[in-house]
Amino acid sequence: MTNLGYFMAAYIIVWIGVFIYLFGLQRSQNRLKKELESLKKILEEKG
Amino acid sequence: MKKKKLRFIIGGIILFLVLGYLIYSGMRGTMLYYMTVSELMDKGDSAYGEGVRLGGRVVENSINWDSLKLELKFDITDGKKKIPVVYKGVVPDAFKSGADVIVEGSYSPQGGFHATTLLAKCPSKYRPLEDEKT
Amino acid sequence: MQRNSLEKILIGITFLSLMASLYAIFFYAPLEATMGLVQKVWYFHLASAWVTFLAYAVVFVAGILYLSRKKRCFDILGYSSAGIGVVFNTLVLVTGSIWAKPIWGTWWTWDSRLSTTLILWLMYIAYLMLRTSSGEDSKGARLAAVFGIVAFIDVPIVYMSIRWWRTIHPLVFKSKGTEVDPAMLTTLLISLVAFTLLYLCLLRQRIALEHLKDELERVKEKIRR
Repeated sequence: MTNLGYFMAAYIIVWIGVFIYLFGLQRSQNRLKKELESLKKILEEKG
Repeated sequence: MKKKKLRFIIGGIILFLVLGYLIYSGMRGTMLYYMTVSELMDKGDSAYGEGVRLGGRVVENSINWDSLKLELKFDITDGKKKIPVVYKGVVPDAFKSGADVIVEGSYSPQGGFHATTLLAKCPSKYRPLEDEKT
Repeated sequence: MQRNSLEKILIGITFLSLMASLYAIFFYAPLEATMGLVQKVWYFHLASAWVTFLAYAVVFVAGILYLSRKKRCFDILGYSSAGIGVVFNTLVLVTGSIWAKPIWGTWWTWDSRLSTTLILWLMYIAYLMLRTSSGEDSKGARLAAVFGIVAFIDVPIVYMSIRWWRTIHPLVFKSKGTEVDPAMLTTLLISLVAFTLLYLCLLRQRIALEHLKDELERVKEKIRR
C-alpha cells in the first residue's frame, strides 16, 4: 500500500490546475485593465 | 457576414452529429460493461474464443500464484457458477480473495478463462486502518 | 467600496476553508484500510465532481434566463460558469485516472460512469468553442444558451450511471445510506464547502474579466466614432 506517489501526483495536479486557471484570469484581467487605461487616455486627448 | 453565419451553423451541426454518435456508441458498449459468469456459460459453444469482459467475485482460497510461470490462477463466481481464470501480468492493489474483479480475455473449453487484463473493483465502504487491526 | 470588502471577505473565507480542508485531509482523516493513502484522492475527486455539476447547473439556469430575458449578464454567467466547470471536469477525470491506476489496475476503462463523464467534458468544451467563436453576436449567445441547456441532460445520466448499469466505479452513497467512517465524512464535507467557495471566487473573477472585455469594447467604439 505504498501509493504515496499516486496520491501526491493527484494532489499536485489539482492545485497546479486551479492555480494556473486563477493566474491566467488574473493576468488577462491586468492586461485588459492596462489596455483600458491607455485607451481612456487616448479618448481624453481626443475629446 | 452571411458566410460566417453559414460556417457557424454547419459547424454546429457537425458538432451535434459527432456528439450524438459518441453518446450512441459509448452507451451501447457501456450499458453491458461486463458479463456475469452465468451469462457467459449460458452462451454455450458461442462463448468460446471471443474476446469478452467478465465480472465476478474471487472465490475464497482459490488464488494460486505460480512463481515459475509467473501466472496467477483463481476462480471467479457470480454466486451460481464459477470459472477458473489464468492471468499473467500486473495485479491491482484491490485484488484479493473475496474481491469483485473484472477480467478481459477469452474463454476456451480446456483451460478456462485466459485473461489479458485484470481489473479490481474498489470497496464502496471506507473504513479506517485501525479497525482492521482490532 | 462595499463590493470590494465583500469580495475580500469571500476570498478570506475561501482561503481559510481550503486550509481547513487540507489540514483535515492530511492530519484528521484516517488512512483507509484497503486502499491506504491513495483513498485520500476521494476528498478532492468528489469535491471537483460536485463543483463540475454545480457549474453546469448554473450554465443550465443561465441559459434559460438568457433565452427568456435576453440580458447580456446571463450570457456572461453561463459562459463563465462553463469554463470553470470544464476545469473541474478535467480534474475529476485526471484524479480519477490516477486513483484507478493502482487500485483498479488501469488508467482508463470504458465503463458507463467514465464514458458519460468524458462525454460531459467533450460537450462543454464544444459549448466553450461555440461561445468563443461567436463573440459578441447575440445569435451565437442564443445558440450557446440552447446548447448549454441541452448538454445538461448528461449530468443526471453521469450521476445515475453507477445506479443504472454494471460498472467498475464504486457507489459510495447508496439510497440506504453510506458506509464511510464518520471522520472521513466530516473531511469530505469540509472539502465540499471549500471547493464550493473556491468556485464562487473563480466565478467572480471570470465574470469580472468578461465585464472588462465589454467595457474595452465600449471604449473602442467611442474612439472609432
